[in-house]
Amino acid sequence: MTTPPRIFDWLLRRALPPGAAGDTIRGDLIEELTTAKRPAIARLRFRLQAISVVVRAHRLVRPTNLAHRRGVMDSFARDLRFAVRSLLQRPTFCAMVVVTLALGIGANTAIFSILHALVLRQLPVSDPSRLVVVTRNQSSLQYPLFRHFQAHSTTLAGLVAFRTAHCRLTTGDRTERVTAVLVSGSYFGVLGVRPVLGTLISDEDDAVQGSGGSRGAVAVISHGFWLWHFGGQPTVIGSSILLNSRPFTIVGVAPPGFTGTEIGESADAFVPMMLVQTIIPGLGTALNQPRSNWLRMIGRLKPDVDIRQAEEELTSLLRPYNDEMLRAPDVQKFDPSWARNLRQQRISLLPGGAGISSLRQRYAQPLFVLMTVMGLVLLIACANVANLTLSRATARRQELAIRIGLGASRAHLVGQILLESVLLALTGAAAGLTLARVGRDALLTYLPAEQSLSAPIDVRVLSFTLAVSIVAALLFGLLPAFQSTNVDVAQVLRDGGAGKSSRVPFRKGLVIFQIAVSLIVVIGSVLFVRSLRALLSIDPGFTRQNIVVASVDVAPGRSLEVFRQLLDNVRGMPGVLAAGASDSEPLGTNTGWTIYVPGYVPKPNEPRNSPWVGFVSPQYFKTMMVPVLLGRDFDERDLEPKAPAKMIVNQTFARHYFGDEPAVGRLVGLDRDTFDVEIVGVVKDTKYTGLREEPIRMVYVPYRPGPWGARFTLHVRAATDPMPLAPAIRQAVATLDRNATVFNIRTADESIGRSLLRERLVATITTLFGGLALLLAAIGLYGVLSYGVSQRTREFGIRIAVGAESGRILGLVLREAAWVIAWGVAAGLAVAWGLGRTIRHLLYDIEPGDPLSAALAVAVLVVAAVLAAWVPARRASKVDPIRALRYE
Amino acid sequence: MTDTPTLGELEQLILLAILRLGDRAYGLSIARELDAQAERTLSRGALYTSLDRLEIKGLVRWRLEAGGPERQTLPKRVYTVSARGIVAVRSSQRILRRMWRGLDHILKEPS
Repeated sequence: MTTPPRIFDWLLRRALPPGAAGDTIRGDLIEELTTAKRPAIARLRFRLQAISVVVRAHRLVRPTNLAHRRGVMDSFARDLRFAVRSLLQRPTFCAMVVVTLALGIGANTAIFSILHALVLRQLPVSDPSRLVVVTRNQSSLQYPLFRHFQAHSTTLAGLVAFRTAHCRLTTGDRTERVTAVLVSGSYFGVLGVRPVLGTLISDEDDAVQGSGGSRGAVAVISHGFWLWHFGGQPTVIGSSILLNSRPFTIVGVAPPGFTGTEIGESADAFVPMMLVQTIIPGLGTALNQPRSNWLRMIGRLKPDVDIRQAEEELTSLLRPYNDEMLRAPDVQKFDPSWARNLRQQRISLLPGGAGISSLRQRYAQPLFVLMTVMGLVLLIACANVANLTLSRATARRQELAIRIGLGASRAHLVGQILLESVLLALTGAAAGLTLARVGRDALLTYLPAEQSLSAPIDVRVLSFTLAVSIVAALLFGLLPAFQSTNVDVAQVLRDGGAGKSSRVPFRKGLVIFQIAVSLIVVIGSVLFVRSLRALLSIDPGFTRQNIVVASVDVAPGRSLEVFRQLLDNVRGMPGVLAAGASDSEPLGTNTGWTIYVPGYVPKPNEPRNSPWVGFVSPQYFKTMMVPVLLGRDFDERDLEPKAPAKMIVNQTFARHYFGDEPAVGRLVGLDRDTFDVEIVGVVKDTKYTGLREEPIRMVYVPYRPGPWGARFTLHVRAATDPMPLAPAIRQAVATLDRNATVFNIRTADESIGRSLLRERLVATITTLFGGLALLLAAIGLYGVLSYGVSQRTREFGIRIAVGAESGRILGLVLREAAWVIAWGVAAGLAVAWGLGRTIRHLLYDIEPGDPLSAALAVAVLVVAAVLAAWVPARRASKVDPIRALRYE
Repeated sequence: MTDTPTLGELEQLILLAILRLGDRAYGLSIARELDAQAERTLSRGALYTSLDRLEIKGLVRWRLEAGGPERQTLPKRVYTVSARGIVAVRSSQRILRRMWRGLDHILKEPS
């Protein structure tokens, strides 16, 4: 006899109502199968019929079954209604819980949204998990190397090169600064990105240096830029935009959400790599330079290749490339260590699905620290809510006892209480989401202004929030649910609900936990604040007050003239004491040069740090109030294109190479055997790359704008507050060059402050949430003590009636609080000690185990705790014996 | 119970099939009867939901009967048309007749 196909029979059993109602249907189908003349067709028919029954199973009411199903739904709806009603009966309780949870969940969501955008979110490209970032000692790579890899790699399915840059976009008579990404022709194809409109850049568009390809200079714009600048008009395709004064034809619009492969640098436009000279004039010849490191690479692994294989292959491809470089005729000029270094280079591949990001390197760890802090605060909040729920459950003992007495199952009651917890948590989460948006926006202001990170509250973030709130609900709901349903019915009913509670020790445990955790957070915040203060008190070596800095990007052509005239005009403005220019903002030095000093022999084991270099105009030192100790400042003669090379060095440089001998008048070289740069002055040491830096060797050379345009930072010293000068500076630039852009106008103070954004972020957030943690812990302590006092009102009344002084009663309660506080502090200190190591390198000039900071934190905590304990203690000492004895 | 329920075409066919089968009307036989007489091949899901609907309307009743080995001894529901069901079938027949009246010259099949 034919047997029914097993899977479909199983499906039927699952879908159909149990018992005869379902069996009659299965029976029919099986009978049809077994009585059929052609078994093969019958089996096929059975499958089809089974599916038709299964898909309609929800509509098969099978009337006998109606009552049961309706029962389950009804009972859930009833429970839900009951939960809502019983919560609404205690609005204060609900409000407290919801606010507490909203703060905790909202803060967690805010931090998570940024962490997610920065670290976790995968690029919106096809199969991001196969992407790898190609790196070599964290440095950028060369264009010829990209071509070399692209031509010879067999482990990569594709390779892309890109470089993010800022350039001038001119529309009508307005010029603004936009973010452009230079991309190789392979970029969009390898990533698997499709346009929403038009076409994307292909290999044909990236074929000819300086002009692009057959379509000429083309650009793809980002979706956001399209909406923002062109109102989402489809007619944009084929129109032209001016980037750095050169027309580019818009050929396509990138899909929404795709803003390039560099997180924190949202691209406005993508242009072919071959047009690098237009976008970054200084890198004009970089496409042919085997030694010029300026771009990033991302590869896509072939399906059966693992990351190590590809790494080995690229490293072996790097060798012949570097050997070729070593055969170049000018190599002899370089230090031998350079060649040695070259031979040892390796390629390493990192997972690239989330793109690359300089922000990530700087911010990922602080964000994880903050996430931990937020998690701890949420734990404290949960403990508080658990405490509240417990005291509420105690008040409901009679109700619960009656329900158990009437036959309610304990499981049902636990479920009921948990349902209330989940409802509260979800309400808290909903409120928290609003807070999260505000918090996220506030957090984003702590990222450098040059960076643009979009951190949407998307499905992933919402799922995180949902998960957090469910976990929170279980954390604060589970124990109270089990504890409060574990009742002795007879006893509770006999005592009228006021039976002695055995739960105070447990609740004290919760408070000890809260105090310990909040102490950890407070210690952290004290450390971060003190570290920030230490950083802020560092003397940068120049006078930072009353200086305004403004970055200027001048179009090619008359840039030298514009540069000179601008400085002259600014110096003539009323209220300006001095003005100069440099290639970077204060503390923004980012260029290093190898400098050869005749007769200088490096000491053994001397670190091979090359000196940093700054490009400055005449009067820069005067503007910054950096004393020229010996020799002279640069002057107008040094700006002449044919002027002999001059250099100014700092004290550390002079001391390092010349010891006590005079540095002024000495000749040094930029390669090994041509010493033609004269040192004309020595200036006082200052900070160059950041406040934390140790004294470093620094050289200055005159800033000379080239014919390809100029980008420099104007430094203007005023007699008083310099910000009112900003409009005049903008005006001065616009008068000289209509196409120039002025950006990042701010005071030097602010500019220095921005170098500490990360530290400020961590210090601010931990302080804010340290305070919140403290408040929550204090509320927790207050709650437990006042509950204890209310339980013991009778006892206190009797004590007072028989002559106890109120001071003694006060002491009694405070002593109880002291125990809880002491345990909490001890536990907190121990854990904080252990955790200290993880934040060591986020701190400056202070050790994680710093006793003073710990003492300060303990003091703050104890004061808050004693204040919280004082109120119930005082109430206990004021108990009116007559009323107390009547109590019940 | 004054109003007579109106029947869909499929419901009508099912009720007629049950009447034709007498006391042998259960899921499979109803399906086969519809297939043979009315040339309607119903998916089984549609048949059972229709039967349930008829039951809720009070037009059919059923009793359980033990099944034989050919259906792994699973029970079957044997359907009968209730009095209300008979009324409903009659009423739809009446409506159809009324609607046919006078149309014979158009609709009469050539013999």
